Amino acid sequence: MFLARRDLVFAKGRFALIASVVALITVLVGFLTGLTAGLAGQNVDAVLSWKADRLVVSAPQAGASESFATSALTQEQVDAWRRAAPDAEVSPIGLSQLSASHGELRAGIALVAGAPGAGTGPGAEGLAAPATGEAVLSHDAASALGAAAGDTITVAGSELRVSAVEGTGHYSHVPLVSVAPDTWRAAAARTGADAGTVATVLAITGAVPDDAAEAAQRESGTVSLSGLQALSAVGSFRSEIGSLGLMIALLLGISALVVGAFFTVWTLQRKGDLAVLKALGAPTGALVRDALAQAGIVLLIGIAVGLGLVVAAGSALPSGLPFVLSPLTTLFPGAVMAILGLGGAAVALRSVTHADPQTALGSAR
Amino acid sequence: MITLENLVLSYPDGNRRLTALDKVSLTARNGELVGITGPSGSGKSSLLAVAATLATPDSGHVYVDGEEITGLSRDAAARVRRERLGIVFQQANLVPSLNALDQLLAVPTLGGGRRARRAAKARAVELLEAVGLGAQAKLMPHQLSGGQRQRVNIARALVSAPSVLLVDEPTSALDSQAGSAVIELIAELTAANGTSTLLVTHDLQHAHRFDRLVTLVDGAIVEPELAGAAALSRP
Ligand SMILES: Nc1ncnc2c1ncn2[C@@H]1O[C@H](COP(=O)(O)OP(=O)(O)OP(=O)(O)O)[C@@H](O)[C@H]1O
Ligand SMILES: [Mg+2]
Repeated sequence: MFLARRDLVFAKGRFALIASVVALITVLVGFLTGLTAGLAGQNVDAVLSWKADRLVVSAPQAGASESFATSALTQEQVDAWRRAAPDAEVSPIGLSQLSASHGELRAGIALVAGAPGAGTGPGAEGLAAPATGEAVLSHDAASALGAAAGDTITVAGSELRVSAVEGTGHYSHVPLVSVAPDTWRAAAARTGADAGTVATVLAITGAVPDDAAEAAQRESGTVSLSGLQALSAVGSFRSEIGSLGLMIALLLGISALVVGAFFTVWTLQRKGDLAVLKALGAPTGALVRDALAQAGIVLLIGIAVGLGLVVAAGSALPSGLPFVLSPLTTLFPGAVMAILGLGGAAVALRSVTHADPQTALGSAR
Repeated sequence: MITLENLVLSYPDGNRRLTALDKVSLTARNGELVGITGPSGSGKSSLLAVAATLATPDSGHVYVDGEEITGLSRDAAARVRRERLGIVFQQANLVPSLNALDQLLAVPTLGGGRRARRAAKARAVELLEAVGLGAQAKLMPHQLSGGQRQRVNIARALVSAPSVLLVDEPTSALDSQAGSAVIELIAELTAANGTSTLLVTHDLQHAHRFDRLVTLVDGAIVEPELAGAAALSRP
């Protein structure tokens, strides 16, 4: 790092400029990942909280893809899966997006009902299922409806007593309201579900032999999805995450290119010096390592400043916004940026090896 | 001691080859300052490039203290340059981000082990004193005069206490007074350190400082009586 440090001091302005560009891109990437994680959470954290190995929905119509919104399971279908997976826990879960009202206030909610132990309550840890005619509101549902424990809310024409306000769960960007399975079935029937619908989705926890699963799918006209596949069955998840993910990927690519371009120009400018040092016997490997260390320092400073800004601004945001600040949304993209940036610099620094020491001799630079 | 033996070097020139060195043999003993002169394009820089392992000859050999240094791998050649050869460039070729002292330390630090580094540190200070720049050690290249830069260039070449010093036209960028001082300095350092020095110059004003003067014409060393005429025919 003999040269690296001295170059950094010598060309402070230029390195400050590239470090600020890296910092700004880091801020953008950090905000986008935080936002993506926040939105994804509001979309699918209920589904994730089931911690299921498989999720079973009804087979889609020809040309359509699996979707929670169109899925409706009958008791026969539930039983078919229970027979196919005698050792696994099979929980029929009812899930529908409805509107709820409390006095003047109306709000979209996700009405969810599940077997005990499946963790279908609003909180990540899950709640005991409420009794018939009662509802447990998540905090966001309670504040949207202005309701508290003991109040009565109206969902799909029937009145439900609020037994508790708990948790932060969301499904498809609306807050969860948890009810008993028969309460959900009644609401589903009144909102146009097919007769005989007992659940929307089956959460299966535990091993199901592949051939048994195949047979159950065929027999019952259902489709089973792995945990991650299942997320794309939530309405907007794929497009939302897809477009945000694309933006993040583009930004990461841009940062690698910008860093690569900077170090290309910088190395080109230093080519004469490198030729001289090589002519005097500096090993090419040492020069490359030194130059990479320099790129590493610039990236580290830029990324650290950028992440600092993201953390500062992220913790100042009001809590209702879909923004997640966690190592996964800060350190992880930071590390990816560092790796890609070093990659870009490494490509640029290949020209260090091309500096011809003979040009240093007797030549005017 | 450096010995050049039957060196032939050619460069591609269209579909023929241009012979830059034609069976050149030359020896500089320890403490000997050998001047090399000749018209422009006669192969003087090419000769130094081969002696410095920077160019690979078509045939012939270069020995330093009896050891062959031609045909080495890239890294082995770099090591020879770092430890056993000193090279003084025509332009000072200082690295703009390094102060005078760091110019001397850069290569030993990048390439050498801890011992080489420590030795270089002690020697660098001494060398800057020896070239009269003891007080300028912390100055950056742009803060030095042309003559001072050339002296840093010379001190840098000597930092590893090389047994061979290769110098290409050290005075061409300097006025005649600074030029004389530089030649004087190289002559003194050659004698004091017992280095074998090959010094390329156009300028025969300093010929009396050389232990020997050889003349290259069209890539070959010519006899002394012809040399005078050839050298005088060009600036
Ligand atoms: N890298 C190269 N590629 C092709 N030809 C070259 C190269 N370097 C030198 N030559 C040719 O080799 C010949 C000798 O060049 P060299 O630089 O050794 O001459 P010189 O004696 O140092 O000249 P000068 O006094 O002008 O510095 C010249 O004809 C030159 O054109
Ligand atoms: Mg020359």
